[in-house]
Amino acid sequence: MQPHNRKSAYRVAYFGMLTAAAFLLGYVESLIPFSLGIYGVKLGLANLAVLIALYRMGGREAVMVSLLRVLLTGFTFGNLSMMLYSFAGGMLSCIVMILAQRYTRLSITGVSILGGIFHNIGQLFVAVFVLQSVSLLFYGIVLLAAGTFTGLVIGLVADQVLRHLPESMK
Amino acid sequence: MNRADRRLFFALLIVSFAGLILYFTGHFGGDYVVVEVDKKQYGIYPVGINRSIPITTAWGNNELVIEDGEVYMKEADCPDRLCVKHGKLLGAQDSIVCLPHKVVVTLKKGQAGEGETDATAQ
Repeated sequence: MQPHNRKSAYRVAYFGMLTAAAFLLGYVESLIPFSLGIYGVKLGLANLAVLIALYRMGGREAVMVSLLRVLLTGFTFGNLSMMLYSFAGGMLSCIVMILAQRYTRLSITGVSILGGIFHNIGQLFVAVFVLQSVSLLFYGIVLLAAGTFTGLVIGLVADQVLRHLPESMK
Repeated sequence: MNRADRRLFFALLIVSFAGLILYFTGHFGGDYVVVEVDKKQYGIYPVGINRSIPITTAWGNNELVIEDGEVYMKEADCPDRLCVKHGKLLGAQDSIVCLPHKVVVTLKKGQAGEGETDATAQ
């Protein structure tokens, strides 16, 4: 029987595992050449951990997992500039997912699709801002398509994973 | 997966396919390219004249090529070289970007305005 109160050690450990998983998934994703040369196209594997945090622990934990993942990946593999993009995409995506889970009828699959799309949109906005080039927004169409599909796949996977995880700790 | 998910997915599919079709067929034909480095104009070049343009930035070097009406990034010493993999510019407003080097190359239609058609690179 799992203790459910906010401060339980079980909960802390669970959160730690999800964070580690997010970090690892981010790394594994970088090993797979998925982007086909198009900037900003990614599998979004780390979103899997964020989704599980969202659906099993809550919105706050999901944001924390996402934030920690950005920091960990950024300091380990990237540079400050890459972290800016990562942060924008990750945070926007997370907020949208929290809102989608709470206010729409979408299941985890749909939430994941939105998460994937807004992760790309967040990064695109930063690029437009940094480079002061509005023509970059045309890229949004390609990223929309890519984000939809990767979001769908991740969402289906998350759905399956959740079927095998113990009940909620919200 | 429920009904709402399906609707969302198909709606997005339709929107993105429509967008992609427009993107690839809609606005063809560019007349000149504008090269910007770190938001500042680096040069304007007409698409009609074949040439090779070296772009030197504080973060690295790129080589832009205009050949037979096509514009593409031939070389770059950035780590991911996505700008090179981008291939040729397709239509007005299409752009090649090298984020590490802060280079943006945009294809545009019409007249080049000030900084006319001779290469104004420094």
